[in-house]
Amino acid sequence: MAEATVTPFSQEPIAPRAQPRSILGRSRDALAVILRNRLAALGLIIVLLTSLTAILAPQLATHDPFQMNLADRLVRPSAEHWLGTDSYGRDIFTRLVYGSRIAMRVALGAVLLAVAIGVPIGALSGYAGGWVDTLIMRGIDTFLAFPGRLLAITLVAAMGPTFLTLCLAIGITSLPGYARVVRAGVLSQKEKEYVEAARMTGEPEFRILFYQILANCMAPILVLVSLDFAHAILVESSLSFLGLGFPPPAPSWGLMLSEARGYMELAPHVAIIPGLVISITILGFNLIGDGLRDIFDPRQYEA
Amino acid sequence: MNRPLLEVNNLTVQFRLKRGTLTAVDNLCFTIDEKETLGIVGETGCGKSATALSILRLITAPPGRIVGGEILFEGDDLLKKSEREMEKIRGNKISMIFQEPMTSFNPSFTIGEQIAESYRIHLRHSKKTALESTQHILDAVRVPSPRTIMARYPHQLSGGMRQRAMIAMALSCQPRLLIADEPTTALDVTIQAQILELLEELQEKMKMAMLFISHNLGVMARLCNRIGVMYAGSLVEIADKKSLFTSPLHPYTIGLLRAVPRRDRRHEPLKAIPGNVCSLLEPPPGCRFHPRCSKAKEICRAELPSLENRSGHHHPVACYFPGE
Amino acid sequence: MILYVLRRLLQLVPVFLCASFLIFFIIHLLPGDPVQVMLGDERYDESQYQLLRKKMGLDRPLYAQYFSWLQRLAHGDLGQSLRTQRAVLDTVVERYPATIYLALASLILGTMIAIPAGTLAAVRQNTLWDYAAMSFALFGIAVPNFWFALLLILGFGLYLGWFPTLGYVDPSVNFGMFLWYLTLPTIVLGTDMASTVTRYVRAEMLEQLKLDYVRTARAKGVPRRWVVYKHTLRNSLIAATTVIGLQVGRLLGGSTVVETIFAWPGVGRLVLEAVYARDYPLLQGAVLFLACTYVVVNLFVDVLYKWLDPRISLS
Repeated sequence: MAEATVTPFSQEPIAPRAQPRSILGRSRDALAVILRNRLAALGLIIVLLTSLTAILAPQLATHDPFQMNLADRLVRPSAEHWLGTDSYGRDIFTRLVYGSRIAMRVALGAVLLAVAIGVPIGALSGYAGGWVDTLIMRGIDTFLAFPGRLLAITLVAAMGPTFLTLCLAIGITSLPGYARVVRAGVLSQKEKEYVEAARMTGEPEFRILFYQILANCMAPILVLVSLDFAHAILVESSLSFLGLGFPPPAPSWGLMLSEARGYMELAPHVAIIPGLVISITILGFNLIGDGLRDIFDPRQYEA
Repeated sequence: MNRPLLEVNNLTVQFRLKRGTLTAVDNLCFTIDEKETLGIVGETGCGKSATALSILRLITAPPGRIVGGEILFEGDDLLKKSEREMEKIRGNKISMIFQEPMTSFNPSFTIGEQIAESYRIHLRHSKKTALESTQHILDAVRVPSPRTIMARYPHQLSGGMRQRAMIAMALSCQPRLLIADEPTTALDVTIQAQILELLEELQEKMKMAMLFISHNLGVMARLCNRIGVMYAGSLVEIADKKSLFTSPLHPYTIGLLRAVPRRDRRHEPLKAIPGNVCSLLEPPPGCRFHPRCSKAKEICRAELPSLENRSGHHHPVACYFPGE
Repeated sequence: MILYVLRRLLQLVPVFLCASFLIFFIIHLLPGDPVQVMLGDERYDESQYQLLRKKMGLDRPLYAQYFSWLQRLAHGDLGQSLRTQRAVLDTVVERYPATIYLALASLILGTMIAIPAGTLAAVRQNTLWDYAAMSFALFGIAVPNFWFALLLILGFGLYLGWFPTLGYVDPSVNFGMFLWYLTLPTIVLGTDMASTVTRYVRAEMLEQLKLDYVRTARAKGVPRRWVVYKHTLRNSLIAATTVIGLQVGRLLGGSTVVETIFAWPGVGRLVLEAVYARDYPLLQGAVLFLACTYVVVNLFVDVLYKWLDPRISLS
């Protein structure tokens, strides 16, 4: 017997592009797919390198990050100081390496916090519905009432720059994102038949909820996590730059840039290098996030 | 005898998918004379829409590609024309109307603006003249109070009204050929009848040819002069309307006709065609229909029958054993 | 439509209350004693301390302080700066124009870059143009504002000397100079905004180009260029107002970092100054003011979007 076929015309993408393509167009599409995967791979490499650096900081460092050496201030990159020294004579490479610890720790803490609070809240909100839902969503909206970094700045200013407060300040602004995503996912699955079936067979509500989240939201949550990491690193370095992060002499990347400001003309490398490191790290997480997003999106053309 | 308005010769259209190459249209040949209506009937996925889009070169490429053949319109091969030349033909000499009038209009422009656009592009009307012409054409498609409708946005109109507007838009520059791709499928039955009546009337008035595509034989019966039956990318039978209904030759056509509920055969069970449409990625060898055909013989499994006049039979059919 | 607007305005009230609550209690966690800050370095004794404390209302329980703050807010009184004794509202309003100018300039630059770039990237998908635009967007997202600002200062300011590296001139005093000082900060914020918006415009255009009405337009013989720039662009831009509006909202919230680096006297920098000076009435008032404007701007953008889309405004 002939097999049934999914006719392409039931989902026929017959809306043409504005610019009709040829063989060149097809190869371009293929190249784009490969490139996107390469970019995501690059992101992964960057993230792994940064994580390893953070973990193995003491092993990788060449000097003591706090060791000042006023005789050797603002030295250009050399054999002894791979990336030079800053305005206090401290080795930049070492400080960057230890700085990755700060960045990754704070980012991890912030993301964990946002997920740990945001996901359950979103799930509760979506599952319970009604006034609980409204109440929670209004509460979430409160956090969204603050533009950009304002809330983070206020929180850190109020509570002082400790690890916990930094994580809290950064995590709180990402929290609503998770709550929304999870809530949407729960809402979309709540009325489905398999949920009814599970309930009727006596499965505890909690387990139903758990599997719903897993089934539906894992994808967007993962994407959000990667992008959030990037965001957290950005915010942490911004706060440090403004002097609201860990106080000196902490080797925080943002703080390094802030200290470099006064000496930019004399020794530009002190201002350029830490910023480069921050950018690359953020880029890495963004690339992974984009890559994940591409994987989870339904493919339109299979060329 | 005048040359036909449209002549499709050996048209082959393929889609490159991840799982393989899909041949949507395979060596298709047919003609349409001026002022005649040719209907093409077939199931979803048989290639009729792809054929329609190919005529206007609107196949999305990639993944689609017109691999071979020629499409002669007024003697010129459309497949050899540049994009700019095609733009001059579309909406002007050859127009097309689609199945879904809601999504076929741009939601951010009024109906009037979108219809007037055709006048401005092809006939170079000024804004004012274009709007006047729009009013006229809306009148012609029997739209009540055209001026009000013109100022409305697509989502503000009913389905039937939108389809009329789409027809108006297609006919604005008095095309020689109108391609109608399932224009009534998405409409209520009562509206369907109205639209069909409208098309009939307008075709008469404007003396244009029409290619009418549908999966519904009943709808075809009214408008078409000739009807072609498509299956799995090829035409399996083509005849004038009367012959097709009174003496269908291809088993598939026979099956289709049998499956249509008829008032005079109310007490008989509906006879469905057994099986499912074959895969277009890996079609069966020989005649594509043979797995579902009760008359299939060795030769049917071995060699693909071509569409041709067979001895003793009235019209072209792609079958070794045509007839009841 | 009007009903929708009213309903949204009404929803603002609980948000406002929650936000004010949040702000108040966060700021009262501020370390440091504002009374001591007020007294400064001068010697004082306990009774003076208590007197000042009482005068500032700090001896009352927190909730009482909160309610009296709310009461004053209802009268438009945002409090009084500890440092300057001026009304907070006055200070904020005085500093706001600088932020607005910067926001506006960045908006213009951002959209001027993002819309053409995003459109081009979509229309010439997977070609060099696309890669260039997307690379630009990606780097814009990854590169922190403050670093980019430093690089610009280094390059254009210090080495090339084309632009001043910090400062501000009021446009009414000297418009040319104003623009000159405005340039570098605008480049930073404008490109930052452009990165996000470019990606969005591209994605939106790609989505639009797949829709049925594009096919119809082409079947009508509408020239390719028209299909893109007249039909799809309009729909994409309508969708893009939400993203652009969000960016504008953030810009109007004052970019603390950029304003600080360029010594731009806007509200972003004001917030930071308040933090350093432990001037908590100022901080409180300023943050509340900014939160309110942000919420209102968002509401405005929301309504604008709904008004622009005929499907919503005329249903």
